[in-house]
Amino acid sequence: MNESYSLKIDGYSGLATVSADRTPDWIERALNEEGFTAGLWTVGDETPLESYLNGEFILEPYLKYGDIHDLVAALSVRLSDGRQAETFLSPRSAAGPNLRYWLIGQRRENVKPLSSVLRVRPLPQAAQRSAFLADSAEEAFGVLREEVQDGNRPDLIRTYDPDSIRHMAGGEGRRSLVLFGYEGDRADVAFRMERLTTRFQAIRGQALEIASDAGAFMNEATPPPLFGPIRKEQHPEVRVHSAFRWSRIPPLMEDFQRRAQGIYPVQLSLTGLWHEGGLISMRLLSHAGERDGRIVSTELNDLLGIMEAKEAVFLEISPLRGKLSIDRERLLTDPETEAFLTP
Amino acid sequence: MRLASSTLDLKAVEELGGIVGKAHVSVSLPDRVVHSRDMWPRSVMWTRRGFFPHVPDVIVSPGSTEEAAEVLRWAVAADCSVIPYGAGSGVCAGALPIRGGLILSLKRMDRIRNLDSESMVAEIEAGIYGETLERRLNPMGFTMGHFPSSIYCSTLGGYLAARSAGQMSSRYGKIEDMVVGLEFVTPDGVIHRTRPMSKGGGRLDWNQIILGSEGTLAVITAGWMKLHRKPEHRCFQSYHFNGLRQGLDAMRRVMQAGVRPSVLRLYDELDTIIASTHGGMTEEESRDDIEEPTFLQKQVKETFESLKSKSLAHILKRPSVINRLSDKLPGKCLLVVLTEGRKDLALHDMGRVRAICERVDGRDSGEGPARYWLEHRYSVSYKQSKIFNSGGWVDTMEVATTWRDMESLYYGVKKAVAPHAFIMAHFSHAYRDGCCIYFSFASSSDSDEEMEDTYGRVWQEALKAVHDHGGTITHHHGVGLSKGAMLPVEFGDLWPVFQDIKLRIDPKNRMNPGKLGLK
Repeated sequence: MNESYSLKIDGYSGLATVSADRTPDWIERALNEEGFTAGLWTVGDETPLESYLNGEFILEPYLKYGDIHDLVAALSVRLSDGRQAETFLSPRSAAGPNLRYWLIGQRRENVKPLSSVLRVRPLPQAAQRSAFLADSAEEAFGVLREEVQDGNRPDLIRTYDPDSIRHMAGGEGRRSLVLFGYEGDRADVAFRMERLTTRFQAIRGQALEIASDAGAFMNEATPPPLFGPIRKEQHPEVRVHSAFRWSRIPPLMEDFQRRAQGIYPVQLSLTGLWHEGGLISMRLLSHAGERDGRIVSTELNDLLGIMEAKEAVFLEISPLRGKLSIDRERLLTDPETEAFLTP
Repeated sequence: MRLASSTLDLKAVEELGGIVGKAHVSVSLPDRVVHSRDMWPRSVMWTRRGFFPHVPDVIVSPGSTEEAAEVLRWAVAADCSVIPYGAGSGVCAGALPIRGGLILSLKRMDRIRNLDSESMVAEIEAGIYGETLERRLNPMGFTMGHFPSSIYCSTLGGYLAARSAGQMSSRYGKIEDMVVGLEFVTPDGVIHRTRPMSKGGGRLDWNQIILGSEGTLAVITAGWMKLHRKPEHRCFQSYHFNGLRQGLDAMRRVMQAGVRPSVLRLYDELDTIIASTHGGMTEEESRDDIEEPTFLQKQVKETFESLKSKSLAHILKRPSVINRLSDKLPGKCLLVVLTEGRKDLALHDMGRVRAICERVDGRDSGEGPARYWLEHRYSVSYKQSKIFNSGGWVDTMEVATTWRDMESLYYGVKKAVAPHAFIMAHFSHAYRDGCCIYFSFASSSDSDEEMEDTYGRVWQEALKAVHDHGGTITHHHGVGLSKGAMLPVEFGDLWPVFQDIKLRIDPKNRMNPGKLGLK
């Protein structure tokens, strides 16, 4: 990793070295051309990999195969004193603390990522998706939790709340939509799809026809959107990604339902899955012509408070329209780490 | 030999007793001797000849994190080194009190504090033995999935401090993959608790800085660990391959296909014969389509059967003979596979393994070797004393690299060690991008001095070969004192970064001095 590579692939070990100034979109397309993938959804984003490595933004909702630590096997950085240093490349090691975790996510400029070794795999033989309408989001989450904990984690997960579905499909339903998918070799994908599909059918989930409007939108969109569509008079105000343990998600959903009488609507989606929890993405909307920054801030602080009470680990808080009055730094960092990192 | 008395005065002992209770402070000679060593073979050699160069001053056993924190504050104020201690089964001298000081024994801290069955995680204190933990979790329907061969004599704190791996790590992960949160105490006596969540996005992950720090930065007092449902079903299978390359190719393909077998373990040619000698291939279990052993294979097998006899030390004095013999073996390598979990998933996974192994011409050897392996999986650690009793020594070295460099690392280390010690290996703990090679060395000499000299030379040559061939110096035993000199080499330009972290957390260098290549 002494040189700055645009892209260099070791297909035998499933590794690729890339320059950190490239965007995830560029990386994924370049890998695809060589017959490989890093499992990145290409989202038309101009943010370089470096910003994700620094922890300015999170990559997780756009990653199919795990989190940034699953993706990054090693990295090369420039330290604050100008020296270039690289982490040792090994699948695992017991040689002291893992400094790769020290270098990723510092959210500051004293470490500049130069290049990174990513875990890659050959382009999948098959990719399948399915969408289900579930009576209860909690039940659907329960199915997903058990499947993940049994080792049948889908490569794609999105859930869309009833308001989004009603808006797309019409009607008065109160059902949530769950979109999931697998990638890999044909037989394996078919086995896993069938297993999860059977579980959803068992909770009276109704398969969504791909031909329907909602099905077409959700099922075929690439990348799959984090949130459902919004009405013309609505505007996205802020997006929050946070991690919760499974046991905290049902009470969180309940609290959000109780808060449904809030002034501005909220969209919630499960966008990541792992053993002990999930990634919940939230978007707060405002109504056109009625926007009041102070009210948006108040609403948002209420929502963040609800999440904090459920032991949220906030990963990203991104205002989408102007400045908001929130204690973003307090929520995104812990004081001990800050004190330690400050020279 | 005469051992120095504890440097602690009565007042100090009373102060410590005031923190943890009088019964939990010991300056007795037997306790100090017991805590002066771990299972590092060199310290085993010393013990056998009554040499105890690193005796601690006091052993203190806190019953809670708060007590541990207070002991640390006391130690820093008293200018006393602190060595966190679990069960003393480490093999790299990670717990040797090389400057005397205070052994902080965590064995009293052995509770499961919290269990979140929905999120499948539990908060567990560091002093619990691995086997005790499984015995407590199993009746509740859970397992942690961590099964090191030392499970009866090692603790959670030791696993976390040295980045341990269990025999089923290909499915459940290494210990660092199992942790979602940590509780640890820094030398200033401050208790830190990371949030119990394994995914922090790009957020700086303190867990992974404290893990593997081997007590040089902090004392780990508890961990939030992932749990799994006890497997509903287990599948067994084994294959023989015509050579290491073919076997490794099968392993790589299995892992890169996304299959997560609980065990995927390939023996090199020599280890394959020993595995068979030990019953891995009994007559009724072996399949008809396995070829008869060749004359050479029979010779090697007989040689190893004789290792059980008194001539063991004599044979080990001529390692190059055995090594040359093993180099000429016609390549047959045994792969042992287990899959487990929900029945349909376990069967599905084994079906995929079977398809891959058949594609690379693996020959089905039935369930026998895999079942035998499972039944005897903890036996190996208890066989070492036989070799020491016979006047020889044995040690193991677990290294790892990417698939591309696997063979080069294997042959490089063999070549470096072969003149000095008998060497064989198996490949286990596999990942998408690479695997661990687990080498076993054994040798014997005419005198204690010569034995220690050979021991030192073997390690020096082996670690140099590992570095030259791009491997990490340790996959799951840790660094301790024995590999300390090589850690700065492996860290390269990041070594000053680690030194800086150490300096900022432990400016007086009170935490487990001399380990990890630190002063």
